[in-house]
Amino acid sequence: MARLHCLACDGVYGSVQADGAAYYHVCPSLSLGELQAAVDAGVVVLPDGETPAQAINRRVYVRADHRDENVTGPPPAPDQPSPIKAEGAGVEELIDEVAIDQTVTVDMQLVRNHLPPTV
Amino acid sequence: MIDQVPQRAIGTNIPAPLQWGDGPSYFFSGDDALLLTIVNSVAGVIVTFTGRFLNADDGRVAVVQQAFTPTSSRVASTIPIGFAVGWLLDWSVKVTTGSPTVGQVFAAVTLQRGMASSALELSTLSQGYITATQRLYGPNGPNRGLREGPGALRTIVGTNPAANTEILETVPAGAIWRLVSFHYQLVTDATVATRVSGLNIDDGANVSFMISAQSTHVASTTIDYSAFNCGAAGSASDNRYFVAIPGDLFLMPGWRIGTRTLNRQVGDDYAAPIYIVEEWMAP
Repeated sequence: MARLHCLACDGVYGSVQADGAAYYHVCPSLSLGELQAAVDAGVVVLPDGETPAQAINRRVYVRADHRDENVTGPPPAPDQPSPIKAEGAGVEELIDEVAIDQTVTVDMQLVRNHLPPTV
Repeated sequence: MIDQVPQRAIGTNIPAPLQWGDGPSYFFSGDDALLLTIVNSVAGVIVTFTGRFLNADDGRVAVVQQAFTPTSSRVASTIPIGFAVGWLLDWSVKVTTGSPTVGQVFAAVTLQRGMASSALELSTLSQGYITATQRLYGPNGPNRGLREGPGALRTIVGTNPAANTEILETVPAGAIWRLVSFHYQLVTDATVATRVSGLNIDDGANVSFMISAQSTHVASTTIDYSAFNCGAAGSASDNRYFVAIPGDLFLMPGWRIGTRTLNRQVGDDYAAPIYIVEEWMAP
């Protein structure tokens, strides 16, 4: 299972779940803090009198290079991946990232002398 | 216009009930085919069709076997299986490589005129979820819909968002979820503020559900939040907060589950959510 870093939203995720099903990453839309920053920077202009807190419940603000890995159809050839909705800014593979659902085996024989004595 | 079943001379050693096609089998005119349709969500799965075919020309019973690797993206994969003139006596379809659970591989076997993808579908012989041990079969096999019965119970580890970003998980295309539980962790920075974390559900645009956790969240604190269907909240003193969600919270493809944080600060950081869903196919 590859650990991937989304270059659009900086999210980190595994491409395949423990049950073998693929995980389809979708970048989150802007949070309230990000929308506030976009308004402060003049990148987003809200209607007169509307606050970011109101706006975020009325519209979805999507980052311009957002990624959506949901597939749009079958693969063009058996050895090729299915086309996805939006490549966005792309991803990079994290080689040394340890998945949080990974099982790590520990040899307790080597640990025995370091355990506190039992009563 | 649909052709009538042709009247043909058949082998002399065919059992009498089958000569007229009135036995518990399927007559193939030579122009008919089976279409095997698979909707699958698990990588590496191989599905195999097997059966016995009584050839009308020579009266011999042949074994039919066809292995098939469907795509794992919940998009329907199809393969036509052609037959000579004769009777398909019995057949079954099961997973022969991989170990999906019920709800992850849906199969349908239909009869059609011709082999082309645009061929006329004539009838549905059997359909339902299959595994390595649960088969479709015929004659008289099961006919179950995509949403009949329990779905696949799945644990999903979502995206670990960047700091100062909310969690947002999206139901993938081709799936329907019933959200069983949703666990996440928030680490707050040293900025003094009283945060309130909660969950939002939307359909991709319209927020239909908002609920906050049982208590507020102060600076420099790590709190685990768990959302599930429960009648009472436990103690919040151990930094494990409860978020109430309905018992039958069904989510359609493209719907989203996310956090919404009041007074969130720049250094506040959510970890990857871990959640349990019951999943059905929705191709």
